[in-house]
Amino acid sequence: MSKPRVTIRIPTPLRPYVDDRDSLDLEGETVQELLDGLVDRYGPLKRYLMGDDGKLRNFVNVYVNDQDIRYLEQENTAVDEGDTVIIVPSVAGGAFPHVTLGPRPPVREGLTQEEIKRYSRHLILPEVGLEGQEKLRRSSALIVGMGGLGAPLGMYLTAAGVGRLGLVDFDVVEESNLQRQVLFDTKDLARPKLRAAQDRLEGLNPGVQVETHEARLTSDNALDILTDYDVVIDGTDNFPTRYLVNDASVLLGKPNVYGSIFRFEGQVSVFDAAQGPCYRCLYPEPPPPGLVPSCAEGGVLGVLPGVVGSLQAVEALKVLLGKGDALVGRLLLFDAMKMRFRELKLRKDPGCMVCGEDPTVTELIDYEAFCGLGEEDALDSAFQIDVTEAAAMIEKGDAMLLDVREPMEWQIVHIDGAKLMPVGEVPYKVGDLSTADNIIVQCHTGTRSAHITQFLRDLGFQRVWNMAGGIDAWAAQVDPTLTRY
Amino acid sequence: MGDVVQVQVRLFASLRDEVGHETVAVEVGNPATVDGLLRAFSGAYPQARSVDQAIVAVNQVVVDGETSVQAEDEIALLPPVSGG
Repeated sequence: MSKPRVTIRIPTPLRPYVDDRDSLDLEGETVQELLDGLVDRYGPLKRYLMGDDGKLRNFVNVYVNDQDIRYLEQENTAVDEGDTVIIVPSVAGGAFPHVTLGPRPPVREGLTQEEIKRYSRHLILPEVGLEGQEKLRRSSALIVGMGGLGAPLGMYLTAAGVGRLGLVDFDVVEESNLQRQVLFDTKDLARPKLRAAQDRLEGLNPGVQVETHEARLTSDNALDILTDYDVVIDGTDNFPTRYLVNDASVLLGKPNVYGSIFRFEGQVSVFDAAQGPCYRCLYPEPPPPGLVPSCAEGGVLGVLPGVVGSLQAVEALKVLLGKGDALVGRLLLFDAMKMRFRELKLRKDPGCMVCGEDPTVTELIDYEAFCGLGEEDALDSAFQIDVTEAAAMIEKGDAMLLDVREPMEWQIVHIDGAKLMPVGEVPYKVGDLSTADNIIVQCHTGTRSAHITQFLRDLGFQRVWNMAGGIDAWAAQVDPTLTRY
Repeated sequence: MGDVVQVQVRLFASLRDEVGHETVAVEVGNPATVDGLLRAFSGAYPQARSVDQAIVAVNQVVVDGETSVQAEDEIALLPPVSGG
């Protein structure tokens, strides 16, 4: 008796692996048999659906007649003639990752005539040569964050001929990105960054396989995404993702090429726990939220990530080639204003909770909570008011507006009658405020002001509220004549 | 040998902004350790909020709090930086 014939529906991102078909019919008695049959026929699909152990990856959901097999008998779920099986790759939270992984061409031997011309300046370097260039083509790198650092990283690694380049980001291109994120064009505004990046990079070098992971890197998807690459490059812009990238790299034994920027200063290192320290050997715990300004709050010279990201690209290429002295156990500091490089020696911490002798972090944790984030959301909703309420109170003279942004931001735009008291000065000038007044705290988008609202409430101020959305929401909803930045 | 050591402390990133200088002189009782130096620094510059998270380098080597500090040492304080 023949086995049941079942229709398998293929999601858009995986269709390139199955000759662009949206569905196909296969025979099998269980989901596992069908999946095995599927990857037998379409080999390159296997690595996206299954791990090395042949088990379904945990970000791939499978449904039989719209029922999730996790609630049936997993891969052993039986199928009947005429059933429909749907494959849905997903990330935590149910968002679709839009993994645009093209069919992976079989690795061939040697370089083509075209490649020899393209890479000729590499080929005549004894440290690279034909052998090194082929090594690059067989290698892969993952860039986490396509911002200021990701831009030069993406372009130089693509131009250099790294075989497979993975990109992780979930943002769209905004006007304020263009001052430094030179990967993007003005016409890319509002486009998903990864769409724009893929177009640009494939134009730059069609020989490079650009793989886009359009998702927020989380504890649920990080290992699955990182495991597929030879080197991980940290171009993120926030502490939770930096700790996540570090811990996942250590757990997977991958080198992590680290770069970070602040105003006119940058840092670069290679964290490779097999040979040296990891990020946690330096900074075991993240700073409290709001303490260290982000680029959005502190500003950044546009060229700075160009320098720092290019240094990371050099280190990534050296790691892939296995040449030179990697920046392991060394932290390179760059100060653009002084135009000076310094280098600090780093030691591996034997007590490191991730890469030490007796690690306590042996799996990924909740990094948002670890970094104390979500606290501005946790601000009691009774302490929040929206901009129209705030405007009404101020108009009646019932409240003072406390602007906690920086003086340079105040110069760009401010609300008439507001009092400027930058975040860092509040603890010292709190005596200038009266607990008898109604105080509305305001910043650019409402994050810094939420911290200050909580800070003042904790000091005993009963009449303090955070203006949700900040001056940006005010400009959108109350006074459209104000400049937005 | 005096009772007090004066060392030059080089500041980076947000610490530079909080203190308003790139280098400051800090006096600390002799014999001095990194932890003692940090206490003296925090006492002199209470606005330097990010010092609690900073790593400390003595003569270009990142060290722990018990490391001793001499007058001619070059001290650097680096708070974490997250921009990208």
